[in-house]
Amino acid sequence: MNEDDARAYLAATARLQSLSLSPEQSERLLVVFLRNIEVAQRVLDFPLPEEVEPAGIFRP
Amino acid sequence: MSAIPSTATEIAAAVRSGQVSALEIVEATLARVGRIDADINAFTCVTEERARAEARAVDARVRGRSDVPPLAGVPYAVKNLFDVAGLPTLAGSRINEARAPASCDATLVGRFRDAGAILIGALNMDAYAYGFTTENTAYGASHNPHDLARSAGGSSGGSAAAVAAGLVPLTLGSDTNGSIRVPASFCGIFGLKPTFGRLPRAGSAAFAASLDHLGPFARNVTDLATAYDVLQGPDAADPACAQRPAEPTSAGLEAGIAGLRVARLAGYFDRFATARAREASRIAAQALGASDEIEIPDMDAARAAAFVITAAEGGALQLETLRHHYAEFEPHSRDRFLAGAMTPAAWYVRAQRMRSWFRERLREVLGRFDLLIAPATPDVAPPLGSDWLELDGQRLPLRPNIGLLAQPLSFVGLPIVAAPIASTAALPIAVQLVGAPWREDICLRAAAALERAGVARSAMAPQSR
Repeated sequence: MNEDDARAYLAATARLQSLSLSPEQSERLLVVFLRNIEVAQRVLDFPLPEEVEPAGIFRP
Repeated sequence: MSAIPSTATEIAAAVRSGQVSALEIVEATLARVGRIDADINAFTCVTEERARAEARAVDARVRGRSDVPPLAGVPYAVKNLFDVAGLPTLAGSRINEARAPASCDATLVGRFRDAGAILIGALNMDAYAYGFTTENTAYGASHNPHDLARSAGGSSGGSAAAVAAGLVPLTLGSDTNGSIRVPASFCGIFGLKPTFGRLPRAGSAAFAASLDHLGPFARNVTDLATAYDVLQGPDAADPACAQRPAEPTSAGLEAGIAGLRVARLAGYFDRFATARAREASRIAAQALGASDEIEIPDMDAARAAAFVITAAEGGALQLETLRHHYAEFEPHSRDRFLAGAMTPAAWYVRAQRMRSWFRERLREVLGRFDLLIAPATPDVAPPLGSDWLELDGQRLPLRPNIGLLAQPLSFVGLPIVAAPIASTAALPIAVQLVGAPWREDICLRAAAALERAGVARSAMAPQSR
């Protein structure tokens, strides 16, 4: 995801979440989110076997 | 009044024998807090009235020779994310001052109370526990008793600083990605992050519920084990707490390390450590007779997955507060929480699946070894206000990365004791002693062995003299 895409994603998600952010807040958020993308890329690239349980197990 | 003993074990013995009263202990503690805490800023609230009332009750039991509990008269304090009856639970945020006071104590506070321990107050932390330095804009930074210009670590910085400064012998903190182990390392004391689900979390503010653990700090292993034993046991109020009976550890501390298969973690755990941190883990490994140095593949991926889970869960939990109180929210973490709340669900689900996968990988490793050793922090405590971590030529943002060595291991919920390694250096550093799930006894035995050998030691901070 490039910076413009991240900016657009955050703007749309903020609207969906009923978050009203100023331009300054949005820019600060973008800086942090870009760092998160960098870290998350390792998660997205990780070769996870298909047989790993698809979701946490809830026990009533 | 004779000299006030300093360890929890000594205090309990002295109170039990009538050598000193719980009230005398409390008055001495309150005086000490009043004298020293202005420099440390460990406490956000001192519960004087409650402390005196609890002390009088303990003294009455001693005089009446009724069953005197194991921590009789021992002063303690708790990170201010624990419910304390009559106080609003701050979780490090001034926004929470407006909350109604807690109607009852958190489960673990209640267990300490029932064991005769005396609550002295609530302790400073990073707001909502999202931090490793306890630089709290609303309540001020907690200062490292070994060097007041340095961080006490976080997010349980107040908890660690209070013990390291000799204010109280026991405190409670929490650890999601390192928040017991990091401050234990920076402040040079012992800390225990138990197995995930071992200790009940009822009555404590959550940060990232998938990863939150609660645990004690102390200046020696006997006190740490005694505290842990008192805290154990299932809790109907917490569905995440394991339904396991208490498995006491204190009596087994002298068992030593004979027969334990021990390995030092290299690879990732060396790459993100300074020479000082690597040396600490080598010293501990040698003292514990480690037979191997091993590398566990993909620890960076484990850490990344822990990061994503933390960001998503923490952000989701705080979204409403951010929506209505953005301006008052802690500046150090509000954008991190907000960004976390924007995490795509697919990332979060994948990170949780990775947790299952890594649980099995560590299970395989802990089938071959009983104990693993790694540094607790990449380096010693940084100066307050630092923004960068320098690691052998790498320059990383400080605040998200202090927990690099802690996160991959707590990610899969393993029990870990942080043990400070004895040194002539001014600033302490600790190692992680990592066991298999539910084997806190092995971690504590190893810590006790290091302590007996003089390899692990909680050095007296200048502030505590």
